[in-house]
Amino acid sequence: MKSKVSALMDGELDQQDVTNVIEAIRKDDDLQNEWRSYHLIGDTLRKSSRLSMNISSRVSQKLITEPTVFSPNVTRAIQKQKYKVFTLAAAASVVAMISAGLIMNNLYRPQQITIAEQSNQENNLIAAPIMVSSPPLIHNYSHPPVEINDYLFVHREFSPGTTMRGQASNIHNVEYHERYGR
Amino acid sequence: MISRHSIISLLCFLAFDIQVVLAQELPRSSEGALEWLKKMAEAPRRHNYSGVFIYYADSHIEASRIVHKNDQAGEHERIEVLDGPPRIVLRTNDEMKCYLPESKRIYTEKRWFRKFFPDILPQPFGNLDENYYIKEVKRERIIDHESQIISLIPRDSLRHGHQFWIDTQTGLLLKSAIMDSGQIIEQFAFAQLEINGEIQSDLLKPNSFMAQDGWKVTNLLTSVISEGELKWQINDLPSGFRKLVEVKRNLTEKPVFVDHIALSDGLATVSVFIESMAEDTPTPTSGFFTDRGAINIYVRVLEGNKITTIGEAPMETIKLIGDSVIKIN
Repeated sequence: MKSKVSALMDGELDQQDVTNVIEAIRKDDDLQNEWRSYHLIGDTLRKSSRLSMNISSRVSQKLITEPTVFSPNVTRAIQKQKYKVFTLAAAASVVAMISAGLIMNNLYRPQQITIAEQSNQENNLIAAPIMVSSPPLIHNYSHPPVEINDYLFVHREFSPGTTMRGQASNIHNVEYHERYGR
Repeated sequence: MISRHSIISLLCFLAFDIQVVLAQELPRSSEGALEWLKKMAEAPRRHNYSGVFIYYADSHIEASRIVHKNDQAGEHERIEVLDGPPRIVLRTNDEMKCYLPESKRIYTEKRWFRKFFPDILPQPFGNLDENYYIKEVKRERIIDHESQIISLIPRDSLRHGHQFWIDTQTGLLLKSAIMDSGQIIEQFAFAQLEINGEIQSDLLKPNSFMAQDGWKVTNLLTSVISEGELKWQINDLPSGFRKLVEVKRNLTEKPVFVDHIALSDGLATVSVFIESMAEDTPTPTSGFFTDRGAINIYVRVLEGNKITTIGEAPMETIKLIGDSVIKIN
């Protein structure tokens, strides 16, 4: 029957069928709704300024049943909140950019990982950045080389605190990784 | 939606972050602090002194008696270690003699490249400010002298920190400490001191037993050589370090001379010894070692040569220098 309602609207039914279909719509509420829907669709497709059906009463009914919100200026408050969030976020971004810049600048300063130019240039050293190489894996030995005492003796030039030749050694071996964590 | 509190917290965190970053940037040293160091560096050339000082590191205490005098011929000094095996060092300007009475040995050194308490600053002390942030801390009484505390905070991780207690009257160093991560790892301090008192010249001469026969003399230094003569070179010096001297050493009973390159950043000294190994000798022990106090040691082998790097610097620096030694073809 719905297809006949659609055909009726399109003027495709003969006189007998038109009479039967109109009679059926009059008696059947579902078909009446179909009829209204088809007209609304047609008006929309044709962008008609005047609707084929009166919907004002149904809109009024909807407005009556809509709950009342007791919150004056609610729209402005939301806008204000959004504005504050935007301002704070912008400020945070600027601070983050400056902070990141400083951190990067600090991280890549040459003094911690750079090697200075060799020799006797006093003030105009040109430092080339070189990462401290990771130490090779070196095994632990139970006894340090005995020659170290000789070298210490010369390095310290007999100063107080120096382990002298023939004295008990204070030297002990260490694991680079354990001691320095790298 | 991000709450206002969380945004404020984020801003506070970022502000703190910036402060941390800025805190790592040490400012230039104050002129006042540098003036104190200048006074301290000049003091051993301006004043005579005698007394007893203590060396303390790793629960080890060692007392030494010192007599220091300036005259027209220059500086004269006698240091006698009072604890443990006796050791007497006589110095006239750059020449040193170390007497070991128990083994009747004398070691001579004709190039005094090191600086030791209380005369630890080179003259001029140069660019210390580039490597350390030097600041005045406060006044403190040390062995009945008013002292000014000067702190030297390293600007990078390649060196230790230092603290000096300087006599406000004469500029003489009364106490010094080497710091590692805020902890004292080695210190010297006068326990008794007389400045500008009468010093008899006898106190600076060898004792009569030291003048007797039977001492075996070893000259540790054979020759000072000009830069570039060694077949070894340190390719990249760590920031702030400069070469002090290159010498060939006669190390006691060793049949071969040992090449010695000494480096310094003005306070910390690092020595590199390069010794050629005979073919039949066993492979030397490579690795990292520590000695008492601030001393760190790194041994490695390169093309049949043993390279030993020793210094009062962090192990990272010692390794960096040791690994930078290259052979010049």
